[in-house]
Amino acid sequence: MKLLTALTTLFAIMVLPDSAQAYIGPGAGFAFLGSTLVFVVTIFLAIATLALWPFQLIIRRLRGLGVSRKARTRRVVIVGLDGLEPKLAEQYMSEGKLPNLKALADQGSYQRLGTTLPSLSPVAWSTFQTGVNPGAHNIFDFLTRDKRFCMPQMASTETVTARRSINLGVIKIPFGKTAKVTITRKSQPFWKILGKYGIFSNVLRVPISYPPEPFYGNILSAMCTPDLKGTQGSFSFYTTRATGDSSRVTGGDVKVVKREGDTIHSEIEGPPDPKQAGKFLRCPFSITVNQFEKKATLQIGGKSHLLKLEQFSPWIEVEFPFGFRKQVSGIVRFCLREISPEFSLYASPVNINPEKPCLPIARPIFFATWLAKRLGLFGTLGLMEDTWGRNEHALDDRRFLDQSYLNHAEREKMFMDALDRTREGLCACVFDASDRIQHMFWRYLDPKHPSPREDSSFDNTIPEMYKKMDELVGRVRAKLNPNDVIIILSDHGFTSFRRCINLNSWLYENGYLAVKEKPTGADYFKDVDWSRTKAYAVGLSGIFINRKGREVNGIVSKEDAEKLKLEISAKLEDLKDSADGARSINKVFDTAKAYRGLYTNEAPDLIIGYLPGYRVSWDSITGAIEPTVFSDNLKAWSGDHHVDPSLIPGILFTNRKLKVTDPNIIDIAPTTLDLFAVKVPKYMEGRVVL
Amino acid sequence: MFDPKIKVSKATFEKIKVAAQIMGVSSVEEFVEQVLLAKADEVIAQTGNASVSKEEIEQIANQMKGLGYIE
Repeated sequence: MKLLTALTTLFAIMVLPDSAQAYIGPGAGFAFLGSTLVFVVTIFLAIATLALWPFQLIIRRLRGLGVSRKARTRRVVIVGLDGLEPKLAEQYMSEGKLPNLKALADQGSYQRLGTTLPSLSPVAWSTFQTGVNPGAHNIFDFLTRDKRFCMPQMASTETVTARRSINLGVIKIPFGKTAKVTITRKSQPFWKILGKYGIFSNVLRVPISYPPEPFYGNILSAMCTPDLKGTQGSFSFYTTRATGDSSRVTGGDVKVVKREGDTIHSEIEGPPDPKQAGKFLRCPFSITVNQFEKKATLQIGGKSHLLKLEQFSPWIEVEFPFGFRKQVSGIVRFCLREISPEFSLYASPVNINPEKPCLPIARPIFFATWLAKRLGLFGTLGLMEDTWGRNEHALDDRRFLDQSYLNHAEREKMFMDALDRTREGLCACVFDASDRIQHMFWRYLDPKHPSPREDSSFDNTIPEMYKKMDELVGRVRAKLNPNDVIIILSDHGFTSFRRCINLNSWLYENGYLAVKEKPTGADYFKDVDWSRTKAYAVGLSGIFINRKGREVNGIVSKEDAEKLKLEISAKLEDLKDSADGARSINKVFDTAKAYRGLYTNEAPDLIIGYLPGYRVSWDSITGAIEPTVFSDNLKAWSGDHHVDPSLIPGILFTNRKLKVTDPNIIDIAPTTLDLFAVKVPKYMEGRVVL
Repeated sequence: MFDPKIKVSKATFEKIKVAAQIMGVSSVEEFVEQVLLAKADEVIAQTGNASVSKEEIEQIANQMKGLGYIE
């Protein structure tokens, strides 16, 4: 038995893409191994694990592991409804529109749930997982900055590329490159602690879990899991409408195609080509349209698929061959947007195929394959709802909603299946549609919003979404046992995003940020003269001081930094909107005072707590200086939550009585441990609230 | 394939353990890794090169592409 375990482990370490170690190419890259080999190895591992499972169970029983008799429940069910806003939930409950949430509140408790600074999903869900403040888990935003050259970059993963070599003592034989992707969220999720006590967890799509870490349970990663191109989601839009060359737009590519009779030929771009820098592997396809029946036939990978006008296809497998008999497998949903006289086709970002994953999107590694075999193909991209596809008009409001609810249904199917399989332990899932729909449809709720609306038929989209979430809660409650504890939470609330503030423009106008000549609007701080810059803004809410000894070209001493922070904070808290003179920022937070922990020094020095209606401008996030500080937000992305956290709490419903009236998302981890009679580690900061 | 390991004396380890507990870190390994990394970053910041290549910018931009919150 030991030999089999050892061989299995050795084989897994050598062959499988553990911690994304086996990847080449830029960004997330893709597996050095082809999808087929990964698939075969996955099946082998699954069989080996199955064979070992009875013995592991006996060992766990002998060691007294599992849910203890002292536990206050055998099962905890956690449902995350990202971004559910308490004011709306309370209003709709009082109007009788959310009967299941109301019943849960009557049975147990409902309170507004305090969130993190800043009130952003990656930050809040990291605190949810770990029970610590951002200073102790190291996630402060979607983005952070590279200290070498102050460039914005993804905050939750780090990719380090290195040369591979075989070490033979005095000789090292090089053989290509390897890139290791690691999660930068520190501390540890509470389900890892549960696992140490032999308590099994099923964790589905909780943000900031890519790449997933090993523990006793199943996990499927979520937010920030890339597509096959290594991006956060790049759609393709094929059209005969556009003239000129194909072009890259924000979040995707527009490809100009020609119609030859009833047929259109084109290609889908997949992962970066390992042999040609800047190029992508491609998968050719053709479409034959039938304009009278409003449908088309897609030919791809030797198979035919029927596409209906304005309807999403099921997930369709696309293969990208490279090297000798290797291929990387992805999945795409298509939507035929127009047939005649013009032709347009939307293709979703190429998701990693869960059946043949070329990146580690789940733990154990075969969990995604097993789920796909059991329930069918499902999307794996971190942010599944294509908000940029909508902003760039590759999708309209109706198609964006359809896509969001298709993803939601997929998630629910997976979660219900997990509930059936998790007789005891933790079963947790986060649903994102609530967040994305509010981001894109808030303009229908806010008559003062400057962004255009398609038509009044979408006025009830957000109230309808709350009803759908309530119905989901009803179906989950129907599956509960009397002793189960259910916790339903959102990580933050929601508000309108009418006006943009370019923090870098403000820093420039006030003499804190210097430019080489004059601002050109270029992103990634291309205009900035670092030798004269005192402060710069990166990401959604942070300002960094250009500190000597911390930033490569830092000029501000530690002592001067303290004065500078006070000066900038006072001025920003007094910043008036150029349009109507209204205050725009409620409070500026000094993170050295707001955070505690080993990573506090990694945080932005200041975090901006906006007032409702305001957010950082689109261009400021990635380091561009615009001509004006304030501008209207004209995008479909019209709702947001990057305001002072005290103004934007989430929701908390549970079937047990809360011991406090001011619960916070930081309390969920210690509370869950305590429910299972697991000692809460001293480093956790939250309270036991149930 | 395996991460490199560094040996420390038992006395140092005990001190690190105390410091890690005071800082509220979930493990000694996490404390050691971050303290060393922060120091290494500081040294590099004082002597390093701040230039960034076009390829590096493209690679970073590619990773962020499609994130709904940014343009």
